[in-house]
Amino acid sequence: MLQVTFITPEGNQSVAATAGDSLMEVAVANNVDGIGGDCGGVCSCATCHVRVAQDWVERVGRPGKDESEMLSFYPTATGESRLSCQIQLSDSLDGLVVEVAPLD
Amino acid sequence: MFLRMKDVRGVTRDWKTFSSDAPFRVPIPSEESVRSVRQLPIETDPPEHTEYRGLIEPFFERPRQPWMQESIRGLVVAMLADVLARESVEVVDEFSLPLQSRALAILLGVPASEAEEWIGWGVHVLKASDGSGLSGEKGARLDKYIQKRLNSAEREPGDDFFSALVRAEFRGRRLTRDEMTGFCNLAFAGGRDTVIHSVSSIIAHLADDPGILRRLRDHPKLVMSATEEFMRYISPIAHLGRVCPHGANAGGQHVQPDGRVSLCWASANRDGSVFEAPEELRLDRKPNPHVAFGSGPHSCIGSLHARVLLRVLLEELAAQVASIHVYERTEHVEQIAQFARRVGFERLVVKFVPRA
Repeated sequence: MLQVTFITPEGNQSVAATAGDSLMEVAVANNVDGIGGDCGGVCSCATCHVRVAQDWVERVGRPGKDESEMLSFYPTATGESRLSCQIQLSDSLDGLVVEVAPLD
Repeated sequence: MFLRMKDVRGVTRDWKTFSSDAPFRVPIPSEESVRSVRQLPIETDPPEHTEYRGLIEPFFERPRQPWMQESIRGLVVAMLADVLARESVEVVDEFSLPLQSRALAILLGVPASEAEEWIGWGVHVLKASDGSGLSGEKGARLDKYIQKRLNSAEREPGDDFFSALVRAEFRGRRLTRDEMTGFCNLAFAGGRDTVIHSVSSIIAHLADDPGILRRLRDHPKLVMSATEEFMRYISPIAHLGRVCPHGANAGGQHVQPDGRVSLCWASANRDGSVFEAPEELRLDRKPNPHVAFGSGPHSCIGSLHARVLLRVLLEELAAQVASIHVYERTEHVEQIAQFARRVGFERLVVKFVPRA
């Protein structure tokens, strides 16, 4: 088990997660506001956008080709932007902090 | 016509050049002969679009609620029980169409009995059933029904979609009757033939490749990516239009002021620079950045409902059906200028074989 924290306009939400799950799946299972995950995690809908906290950017890693291309269509995306469905959780991400920030 | 993924996605976000503020002209062919009102929210641009869409968005978010997903599952289970007991079933008229109408009744919060009337409207709510294209008569019938429902919602408001429109406020005023009608017109036209063709096509695929049902049974999580891949592969809406008020340069082609361009979702979904082996149906395709539900601010507002319906359908088919045998099939062919495109079926007669 590991813990991840979502920063939302309503406050911080820390939830337990299992290695192997995607960050989007964890958010949806815990009803985190602002994470839709409509397409189920295939990188088609961009409703699971988060901004990774500075200290975690390196450990989480950079977006892949399809994800980068998707993010490039949104002027509100930043260098810390990721689609949470593409972040696979592992023990090394225990304590991860991300900000929930819908793109549109 | 914009054919490539990158161009299609880009154009949906450049509404100053490629506008949706064009009543009747977002669908291709144009629909001025079958309706008299602007469809809402689709035939507007931001910022009006954002506000119009916000009025009905809560309704279309409801499929996230577990009670609604269970309600959809109850419908699918009951309809499968019926077809599993029969020797043969014509899938389009006896399964896909009633399933779509009854699921829409759940989404719009109206009694199930309403759906029985909608079923009588056929696969496309604005097109003649003989394939002769848009039908003014069908458009008038839909409008008459919408006025009837809006009248009763005004007299006796409830918790349904029509009543929500009657109560809604846009920029400090109530909606006009034309605006309410525009929302309703889209609610009935938008997710109809699209869902019906998708359901029929999925059933044909499951019949042609019996291994799929087994794979879905053995790997329940596959249902998510399989639903998306079916949508990419089927692409129920080939394309939609945008109008260029000031003219435009569209990939080297000059578009006249007031000229129209097409955003071809079906083509973008087979873009070889995005999808490996785009002609192959790969149920575990991930990532799968398809645009079967469009893209940008106008992306399909009913996509969540459609996704829930198709996921539940795949789960229940996998759980209950051993195989599907096709007795007869006539594909539905859509003509787009000089191009013919297969999407869905006119007739698909099958037997659903129950699991022992």
